[in-house]
Amino acid sequence: MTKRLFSLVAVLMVLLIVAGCAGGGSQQATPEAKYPEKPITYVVPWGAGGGSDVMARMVVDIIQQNKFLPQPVVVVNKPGGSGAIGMNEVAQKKGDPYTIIGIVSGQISTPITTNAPVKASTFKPIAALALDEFFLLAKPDSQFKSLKDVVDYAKANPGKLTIGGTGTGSEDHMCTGLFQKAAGIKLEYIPFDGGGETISALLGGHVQLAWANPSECASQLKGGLVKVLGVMAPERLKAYPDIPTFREQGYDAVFRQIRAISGAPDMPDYAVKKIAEALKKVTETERWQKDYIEKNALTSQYLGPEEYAKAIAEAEKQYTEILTDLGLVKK
Amino acid sequence: MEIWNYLLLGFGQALQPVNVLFAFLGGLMGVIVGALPGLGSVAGVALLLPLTFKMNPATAIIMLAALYYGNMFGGSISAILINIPGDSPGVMTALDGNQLAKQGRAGQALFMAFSASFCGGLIGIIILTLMGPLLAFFGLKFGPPEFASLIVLALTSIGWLLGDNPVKGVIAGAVGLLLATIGVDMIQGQPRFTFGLVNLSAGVPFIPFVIGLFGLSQVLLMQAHSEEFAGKENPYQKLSLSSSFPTPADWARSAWTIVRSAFLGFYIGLLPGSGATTAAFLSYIAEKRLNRNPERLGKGAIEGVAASEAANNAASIGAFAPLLSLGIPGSGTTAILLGGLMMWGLTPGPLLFKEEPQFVWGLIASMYVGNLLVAITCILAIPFLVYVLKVPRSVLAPIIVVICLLGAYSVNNSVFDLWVMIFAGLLGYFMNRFSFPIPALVLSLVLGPRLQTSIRQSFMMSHGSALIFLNRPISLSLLLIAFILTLLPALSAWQKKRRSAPAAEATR
Repeated sequence: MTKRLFSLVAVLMVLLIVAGCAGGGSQQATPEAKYPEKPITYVVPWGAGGGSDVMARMVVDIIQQNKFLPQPVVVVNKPGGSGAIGMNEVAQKKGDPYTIIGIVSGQISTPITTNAPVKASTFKPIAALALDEFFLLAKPDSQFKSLKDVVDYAKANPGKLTIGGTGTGSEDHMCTGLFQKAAGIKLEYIPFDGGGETISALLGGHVQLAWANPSECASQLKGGLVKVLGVMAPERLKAYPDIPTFREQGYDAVFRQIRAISGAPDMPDYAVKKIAEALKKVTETERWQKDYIEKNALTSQYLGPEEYAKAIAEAEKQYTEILTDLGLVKK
Repeated sequence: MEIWNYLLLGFGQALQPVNVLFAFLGGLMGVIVGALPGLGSVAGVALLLPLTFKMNPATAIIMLAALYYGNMFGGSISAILINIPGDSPGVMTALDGNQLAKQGRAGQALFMAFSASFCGGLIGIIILTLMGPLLAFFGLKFGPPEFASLIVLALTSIGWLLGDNPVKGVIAGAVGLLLATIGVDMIQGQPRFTFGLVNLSAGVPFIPFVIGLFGLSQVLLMQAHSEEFAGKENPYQKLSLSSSFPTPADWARSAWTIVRSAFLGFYIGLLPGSGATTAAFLSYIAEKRLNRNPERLGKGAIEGVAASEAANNAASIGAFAPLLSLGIPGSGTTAILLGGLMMWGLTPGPLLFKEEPQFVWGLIASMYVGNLLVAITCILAIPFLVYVLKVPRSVLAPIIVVICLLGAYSVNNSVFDLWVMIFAGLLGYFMNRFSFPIPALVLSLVLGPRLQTSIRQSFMMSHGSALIFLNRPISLSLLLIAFILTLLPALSAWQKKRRSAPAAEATR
């Protein structure tokens, strides 16, 4: 009796094994269906703790928490060379469905000024998630009450008005270029190493004006250490409804920083689609809107692969123009 | 009196068991991160930050702050024991600390390093408590021209770091300045001397370079000239805590140094864009200037260890003054802390002291507690730490090589950095063999980029006039001191000559 039972169990097991194999074989799983089978590497070409890093860790955490992807996404920081080092590394992973990279406007502009072979458009566009804004700051006791005061002063003293910003050929520098063009003035742009140093220079009176993202100057603004003369956005910000735009004040200058994610060059479309879908879900969560967008006074804007590709192409064209005007593009 | 009330309020917060525990844990993690070459406080705080979002903000910031100053303690351990600075603020500690270890005084060096760190930190916290917000505003007066003049003052002092052969010292310093020009130039945005290598666009990676220059080069020396190390095996026999206590003479020599370096370090820490590394370098130079026997420094003077350690800890505290009262990060690590504070919905800045006194004073009070706990733990660990020196050289050497490789790689996760480290190791080896002073090179490599940028920013501010360096009082006084200090050796030589001249005439 026991013997028979035993053989029955044995036969059943063999059958089960065969059935299992057959099942596996008949499905003929394509990489599309199985993707992602292993963790995805998210390269942040900036240091830990910076704006790109903060966004990356928030995205990864929300994906994990809500299981938007069946595999984890791992953040790897590859800082240096204004993003160039990380970009170069990812550029070598042609066709890799498991490597994505954070992209911000500085990575679009730096390759233009340094004439580097790897550009932001080298990568496969996945999605743009948010836009960051730019404030023009002055000290509260400054003689400048509005952009008009600045322009009048700059016209009377061409090239004498100093304006601080982060880096050369950067977002802040391009804002300066756009403002100069729109108002027909010439300012002396002085680059500093990071937003903290820029605001210090303004507070210490070493420069007369300075650029900052809303999140960079939120505390100084709240504490009355600085005042905002204008925002480069197309319309007033929800978080700062009292701050007039450049356009309102008669200067047609708009600039916003893109915060986006691209894939390795020639990343397969199925991977792009999967990740873009997950990112769209991320931007729709309450946590993203509250803890990321609101806290950093960003503008939420999801662009899918096609729209984002268009945005990058437009940005490259626009940036080349601005940077050429500033004399920063090598001929 | 108001301050006392606030401080009491703060201690009420800081002495809650959970906060004491996390101050201790953070400090301990800081020590470990600091001791591991390549991992610094920036990476440590950045990695820990996301884990703290679920915690109570006060507890979280207490832990992260403890990690930052604990890091300053830890950096000295690997610097003294194996001559690999765990983090860049520890570079100057390695100079004298490792020499002391080679003389069999590792225990005392560590004891002094930890005590100096503690005292430096304590003085820093007291200054922060009493007049932090006020000083933060004063720090703003320091603009590009002042920085340029400060670095000129520091570089003219390199003369004292040169060693026996001044020409070699000048060469080493000049090579450092030239290496500092590599990378994308901040002002023009164009790459210089990168030879098309993307990895060089951010300049010579400093930590891998230093790890090679100090750590790898010493292994090469050990292997190539083993006869010089023969008989020096296990120089440190006694491993007890009491034998690690520095002698009264050591304390007497170091006491003033610690106080002076703490004040200097705190001040450097609150300046925009300069932190513990610059503080340690500058106070080491100051020590070299002001010490009665400057030639002892670099050859195992315990004051050298004290100067660097007191300064870097005080600077890490100083960086909190502009962070809390202006919302401006003074260093890379505090920049990340700022991000964390914003995530918790706390906006550092002028209003924070008024709106969240419990939080601010809790943090400040926790620094007293955390510093004490970390110092006690570190000192108690000394007998175990010096066991490293009992490891036979044949075993230690390959381990050091592995640590160098791991440390160099972990900074930027870059293979290129390994080559930099190995190159720097060879460079260090030859500099050592031909007695070129390594500190002169490191110093100008650290200060060089800032000097160039500050000078050019100043010229942009003044629209091309060099007078900007002279018509600003702080800058002018710094330049005057530099000028006098450069003339001093010539002046004293001239005076000596004049005094001996009549004497020579009299004998004629």
